Amino acid sequence: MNMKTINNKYLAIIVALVLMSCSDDFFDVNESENDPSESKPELTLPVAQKFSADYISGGYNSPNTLGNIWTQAWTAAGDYIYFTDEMQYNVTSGFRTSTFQTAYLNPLDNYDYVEHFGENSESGGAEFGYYRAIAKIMKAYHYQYLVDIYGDVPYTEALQGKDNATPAYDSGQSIYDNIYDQITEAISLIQQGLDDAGTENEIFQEIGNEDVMYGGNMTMWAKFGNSLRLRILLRQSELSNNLTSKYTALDASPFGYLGAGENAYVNPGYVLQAGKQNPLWDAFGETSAGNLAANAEATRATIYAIEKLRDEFNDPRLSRLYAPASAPEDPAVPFVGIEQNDQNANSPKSAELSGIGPGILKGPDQNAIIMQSAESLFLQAEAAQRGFIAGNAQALYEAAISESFTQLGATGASAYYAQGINNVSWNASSDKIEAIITQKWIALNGTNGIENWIEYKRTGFPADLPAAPNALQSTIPIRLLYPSSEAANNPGNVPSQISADAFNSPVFWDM
Amino acid sequence: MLAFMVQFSFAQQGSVTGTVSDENGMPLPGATVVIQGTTTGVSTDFDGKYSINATQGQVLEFRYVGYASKTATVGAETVINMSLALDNSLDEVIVTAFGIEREEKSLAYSTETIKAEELVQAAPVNAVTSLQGKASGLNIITRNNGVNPSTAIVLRGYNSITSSNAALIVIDGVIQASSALNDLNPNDIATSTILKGASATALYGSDGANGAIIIETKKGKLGTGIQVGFNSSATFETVKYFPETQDKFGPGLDLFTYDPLENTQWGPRYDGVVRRVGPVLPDGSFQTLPYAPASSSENREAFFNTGVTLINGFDVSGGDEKSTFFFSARRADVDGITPKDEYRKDNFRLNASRKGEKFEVSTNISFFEDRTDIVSPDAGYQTRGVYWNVINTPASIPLTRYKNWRTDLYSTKETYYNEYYQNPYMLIDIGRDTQRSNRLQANVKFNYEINNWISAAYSLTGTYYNEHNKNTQEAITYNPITSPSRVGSNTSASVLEQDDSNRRVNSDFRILFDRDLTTDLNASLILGNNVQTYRSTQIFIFGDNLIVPDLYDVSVRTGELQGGNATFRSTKVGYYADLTLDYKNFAFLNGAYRYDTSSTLPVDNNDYSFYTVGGSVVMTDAIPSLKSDTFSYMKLRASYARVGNDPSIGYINELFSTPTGFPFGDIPGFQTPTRNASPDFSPEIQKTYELGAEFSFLKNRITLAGTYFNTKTEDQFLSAGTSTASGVGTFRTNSGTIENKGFEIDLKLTPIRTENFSWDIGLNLSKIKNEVVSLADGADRLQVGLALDEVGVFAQVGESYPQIYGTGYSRDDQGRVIIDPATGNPVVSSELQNLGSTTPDLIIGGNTRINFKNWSLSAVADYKTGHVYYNQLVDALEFTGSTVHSATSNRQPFVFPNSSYPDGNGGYTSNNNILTSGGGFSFWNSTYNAIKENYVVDATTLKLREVALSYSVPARFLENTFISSLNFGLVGRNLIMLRSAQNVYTDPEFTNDSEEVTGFGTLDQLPPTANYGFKLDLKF
Repeated sequence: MNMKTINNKYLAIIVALVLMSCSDDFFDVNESENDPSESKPELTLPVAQKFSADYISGGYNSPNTLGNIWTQAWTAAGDYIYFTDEMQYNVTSGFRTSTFQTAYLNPLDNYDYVEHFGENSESGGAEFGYYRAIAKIMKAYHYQYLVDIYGDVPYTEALQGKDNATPAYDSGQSIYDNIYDQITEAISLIQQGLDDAGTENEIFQEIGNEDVMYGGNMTMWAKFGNSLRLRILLRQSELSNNLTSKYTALDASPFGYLGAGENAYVNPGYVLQAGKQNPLWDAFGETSAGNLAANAEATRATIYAIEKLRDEFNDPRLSRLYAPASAPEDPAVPFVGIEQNDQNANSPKSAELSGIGPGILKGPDQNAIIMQSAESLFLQAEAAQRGFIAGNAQALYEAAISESFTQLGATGASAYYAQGINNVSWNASSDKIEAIITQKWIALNGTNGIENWIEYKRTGFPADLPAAPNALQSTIPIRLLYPSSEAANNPGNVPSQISADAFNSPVFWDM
Repeated sequence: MLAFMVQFSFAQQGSVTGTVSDENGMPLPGATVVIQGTTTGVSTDFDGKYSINATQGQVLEFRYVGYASKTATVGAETVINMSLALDNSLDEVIVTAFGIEREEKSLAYSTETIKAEELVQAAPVNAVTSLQGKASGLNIITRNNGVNPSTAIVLRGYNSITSSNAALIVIDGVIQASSALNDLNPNDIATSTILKGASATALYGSDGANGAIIIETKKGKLGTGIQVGFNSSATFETVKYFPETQDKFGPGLDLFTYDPLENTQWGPRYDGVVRRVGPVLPDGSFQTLPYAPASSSENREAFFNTGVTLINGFDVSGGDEKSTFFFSARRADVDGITPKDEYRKDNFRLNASRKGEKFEVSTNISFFEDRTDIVSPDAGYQTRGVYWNVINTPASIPLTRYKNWRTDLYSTKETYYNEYYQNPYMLIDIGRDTQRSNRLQANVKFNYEINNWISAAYSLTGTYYNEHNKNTQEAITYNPITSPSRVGSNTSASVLEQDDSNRRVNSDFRILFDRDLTTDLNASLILGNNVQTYRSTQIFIFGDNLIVPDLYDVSVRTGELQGGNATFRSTKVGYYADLTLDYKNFAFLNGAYRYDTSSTLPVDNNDYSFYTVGGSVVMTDAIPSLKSDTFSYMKLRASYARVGNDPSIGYINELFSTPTGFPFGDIPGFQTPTRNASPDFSPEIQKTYELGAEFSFLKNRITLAGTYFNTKTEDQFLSAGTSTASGVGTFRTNSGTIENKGFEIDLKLTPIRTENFSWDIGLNLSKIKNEVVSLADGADRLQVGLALDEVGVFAQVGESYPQIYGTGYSRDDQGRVIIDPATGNPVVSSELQNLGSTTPDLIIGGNTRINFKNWSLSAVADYKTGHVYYNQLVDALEFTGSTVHSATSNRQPFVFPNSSYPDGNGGYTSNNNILTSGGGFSFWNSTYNAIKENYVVDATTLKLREVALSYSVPARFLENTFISSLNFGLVGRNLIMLRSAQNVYTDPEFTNDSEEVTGFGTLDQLPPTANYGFKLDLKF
């Protein structure tokens, strides 16, 4: 081979490389080959729904856990330094920041993506009407809790990513009004879809098991939407604003509310496997390896709850809500609670106390509860009792209790509410609203503690609910404070707050 | 073997004589004359005369200490007189960016070259550790120990908050991953040049922003026949600085209450009484032991073995008139101090070249493979590692007796004394991490001299790297009848296999012009193109609940199979030009420009440029009258560079991802991006200037170099704050500035230099002041490393980077610790306090070598100060009551030293009588432990890194053997470490492995060790 041929070949290689380097495609390799830069509604909806379950009833940091502590359902064992800030009412801007942050980052941002999917396409996303309806309903679900927990929060400018890194705050009242309208709009979409189904107008894409709440059953979504609308209206019961026309319109909806057997559950296919267990079970039951979960031994029953169920109400659900102590001091008294903030050398130890019961912790594949049928029935009972909607308040109340028994796996509901005990039997109850909320407190114990705390704020029931002894404040907090991340990253918009606001600055409906 | 036999048999011999003298004609007695490529050599006599048997065509090399060596080819003549000139060591040739060799005096920036023999003098397994202490501006961090320690090289301080600060590694002109230097055979290294700043590395584009280590491997020499070398070493590693722990109080959680099942040590004082240890067995029997510290041959420290490292290597090299080759092979076998930990490393290399009249081709091919087999760092209950379990063992437990955990009556998982944590001997058997990695690097270089002033060069390099990890976990199932309380830590058998591969291809094309423009002015211009492509793929599978014991196959599991895969790619293309003007060989001006396009930037905004300008003047040549016998050399230099740094692959992508748990059965899922990136994302910009001067005195017996540098790194890749209500938690953008400035001094002395005795001393000093000038808009603190709630590593505006913040004491104006008079306990500060910087601001390295006849003694030490570190280990020891301080008050309440309390009038009253609330678990583990200032200690260390004593067998003893040189010696590494008095626990250099910043020691490191042993070098 002579030098010249080598030289030519060698130049050819260089020329090739230089040419290659001039093409734009050559540099277009930063795109991930694994994770896409866009999704589809059927891929993101199940994620959003799983996030809803994780958020509301997941682990230590979930609103459910906080509500259970603040409404005396749960406490820490005497030999565990646990739930300290919660039981001390040490509410600061560093307290449970994920309640604010995770709501936006996880469920809301994903529902928002589903809601607006396809808007820039030729069809404007018209074919995704059902997805849009579900997204609107679930956004309303989360925003209501954000308002109930924080008051004013970002809403109209929220969830815009880098286009608005510092969203403004909206008033709680305006958010309430808007989420109500959003659900109404969602139900209209569902109505339209059902009307068009089978006709030439049918354009909505059917939803299947990627809807891990109702498997695409849009009638159930409409019922759930109505129950949520009822909850939104009832939450404003202490306000003087006139909601009569809204109640009337709501009650006229042909779909009705969630009734007996119609729970709002999320279950994407929870299974005994790391990362795939029901979040409540994973946090308080057992790990996928079969060991006790992180919070299992620390979380114990309160004296208040045990005495209320066992001594005052003779409630068969006691053994479903709480587990017998593994080593009780007195074997004849297997259900034992402890005061909050009782972590001293001689305090009852975990093994001597009742933990969370088998009606709440059923197994790794149990459904995650978004809204129980019992809650929907209690809401209807209250609205009927107050004359806002049609219906037999007593029948709804008793149906709600029966549903709770079913949910928890207890028997003897009718015998239970036949007992002539105040706040148990309808007739023996002096204040029907108190009976409804008190019974709701039992029904949601362990599974939707935050709702119980919110309803306690609204109604003051259960009337004898004690504040934690030896806490920093003598009353139960009525709000969380905005997280310090908002002060750092959204200082121009986050309302100013002082630590006392957690005790004396109520959200708009909490008069 | 045959080759060199032939050489010996057929060499035609003749005799050459002559005189060796200095520049002034004075004879040089004791000068060496050797035949290149052979081992034949003689010394000159008192009159500088020599006589040697050499054949025509052989090359004689004349050497004399302090003088530049010269060569002469033996021709027809029989007399060769040689005059040697004083060695101007500063005239040496330096390998700079892209392997371009330049005269040191022409460089406008600071460099340092470390010679091969200095790197391997202490028989290191890996080359990085042996750079320690040998150059200024260099901070080598050995993050941990163990059989294959991980290291980091940081030049001139931390410049970047989120991007890598690691120095670029270039091997034989090719950019490589940082780990490639670790993987190299240190004996293959011919030279390692340290280019400290961006001025020196601007030609590398963004890769060079943190300086570079340029490695050239050994090559055969033209016309030298064949040489064979062997090197061999055996070194031993022992635990040298085991943490100091208390040995007064024994097992028990409740104060002064003995508990035979506890590893916490809040129990009664050791009294020598025989007590039950561990559970009562089903037959009612139990183990008993005297309640006293166990003997040093059985206690927790005795758990660790003496590690053994064996290294054996050989090389064959040589060349004829046109071709050269160098082949080497080496194996290092390491048995660690942790039982069963093993490491093996194999290296092979072939470098070869062939030269034509105008055309030269050369190739380097190297292959590396290693295998690490260590106990899984999280094998234990609660993912506690072995060291954690060893260190928290009470002093009274004779740990080594529990070795046979499968069979010994008191050592099994059910009967081991500790109810809460597992037998460490069991952990080393049940959880294993095995990693095999290999790297194949092959390159070919062509060089063509187009005419006498233009040449062209092209090189193409491919590197393939593969890493395979296999983690196995044996099932542990406790007997639920005998050990009901232990079943909570049952573990299923599992296996994780992970395969990461990457390949990089580098193409470099260069044209060099070198021409005298006038008789006084020379110009050299380099035009070049560089293309890099990189692709990496990762695959893993994981299966648990494996049902056949000892079979780690995912197909015999119950439950779902888990797995994942990922691919990453990047491309970078650069064009560059570099012009050097040389005026009369004493004044130099250099300018370089590079234009890069990088795939990791937004496609429509992906190009950026770099430039550097600099100049140097050799004053002693410019003004010859300056030069005298005392003052030999003076050079002044200055340079400025502006370089960019691109983000890592995918850094700016906004991606949907699969959240935990998905897919659930047939339901897949993608979540919305949790981070966004600015559409205007641009490169990080570093601006640096440096000024330097170099002097030498007394005919180069003293050389001194000093450099001042100032580096500002702007537009850092930071996450700006976003309200989480925007739906994204992270917004990646450009903001923030870090400034590094400091000076470096390198001093080399030769106090003694005679034929039989020489003494060289090298000292280097680096002083760095580093400051975070700004962060993202409005932010003044950013978490950058590991952080717990109460202590962490942060970047803080106005402070050096990085900085530890943690809970501290509240102190009054006299510095006394404020206590709560109600409890007697110190009050924790309400805010996290600045507890100090984690990078040393002063590093001093020293090395020395004494040669006496055939003996040589060398030592390397370094001193780092001005930094602190936090040690999670002590934090963990607090829980078990193992710390020395927890026993100082004899577990009684005490008056907190140097404390005061508010007097109610705004002042403070000295506390002489209020006792703390306790002296046991609740005080030490809660009150005292809440103040993380207690665990942040001065990280100042003085380490004797290397000591080596060697002896070369005199040539006369080898005359009648086939051995040409034989050298053996004793070596020691890390023999002495002096620490601040506060630090009785570990080496403050140890740090969490996965984070780039230092200063946060975790439980994953082992106790510091020392290595010592012997080595042998043999040449034929």
